Amino acid sequence: MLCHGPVRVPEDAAKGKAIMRVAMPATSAYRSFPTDIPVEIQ
Amino acid sequence: MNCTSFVPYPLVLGLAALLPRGAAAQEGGALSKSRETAKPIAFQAVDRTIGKLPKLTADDALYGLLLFGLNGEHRVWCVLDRSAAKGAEGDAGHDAADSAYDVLYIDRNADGDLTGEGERIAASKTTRSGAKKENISVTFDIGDFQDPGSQAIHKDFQITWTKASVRIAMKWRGMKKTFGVYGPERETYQNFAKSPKEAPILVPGYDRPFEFEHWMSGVFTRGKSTDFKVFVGNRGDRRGTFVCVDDKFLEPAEYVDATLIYADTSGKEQRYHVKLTERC
Repeated sequence: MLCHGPVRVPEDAAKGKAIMRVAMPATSAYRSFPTDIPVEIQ
Repeated sequence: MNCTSFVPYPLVLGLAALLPRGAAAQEGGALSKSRETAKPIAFQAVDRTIGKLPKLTADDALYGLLLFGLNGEHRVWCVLDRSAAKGAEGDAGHDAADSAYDVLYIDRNADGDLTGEGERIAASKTTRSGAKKENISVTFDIGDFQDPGSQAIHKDFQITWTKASVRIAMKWRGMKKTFGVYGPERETYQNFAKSPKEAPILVPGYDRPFEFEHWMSGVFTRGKSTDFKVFVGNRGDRRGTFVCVDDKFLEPAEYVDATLIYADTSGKEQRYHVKLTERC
């Protein structure tokens, strides 16, 4: 499955590597290991 | 990119809608308590030895390793072989089928011995496509599979081999589907490998806490909106080995948290939080 949604990167972000940290919220019925996904800002 | 195009088969599973909130194995009583002890798997430390192999026909057999158990402690080796030696390319009568694998050995009881009863599976379906029928897909029906960790029965277990990648699918505990393999781009989807040392490690199911992998959305542009998409399931030992649940798994009110951690133009760390509420 894919969970998705819009991410608008602020204008003041520096170009280069960044991290997207993904997890189930604390209120969720499901547990997760927070996962750091390398991303790039252009 | 249409996000419905990442899977080769439908993701519909009506049973999920019939289950109450949290009814999935993730919320099962004793399992839920033991889940508290689950840890991320240290793939580098996984033992890659195989206790006993059958006599293989193919000199280019392919190996894959599936991990079961709350901490992936039960190793189930899979080996793709051929029932007859393949002809050399260029030989008269040689066609694409000569390179297809039609035998699967799977260590059902995770004892390291792939010569046990019921551990040799013949291909159940072979399909060809392409102008010269060069694209071959071979499916192995393993059927019911007793989890060597939980002892639960997973149903409709299938492994499908193509030249591009391998696919696995099963109804975990006979309920909801878990399937793979996926990665951030199609080109990363992994195949079984030519040696146990190189074999990809896959982790099916949803007994463990979820992990995530993005799909086709790892590049953002400042000041613009990007549809960020993630698989929900288990990471394997490398990119392109993700095994996920389907789009009906999470109840409608559930969502995934995503926090972009970046530096601003002054070099200061900033965080931008979004909720991924949509599904496909």
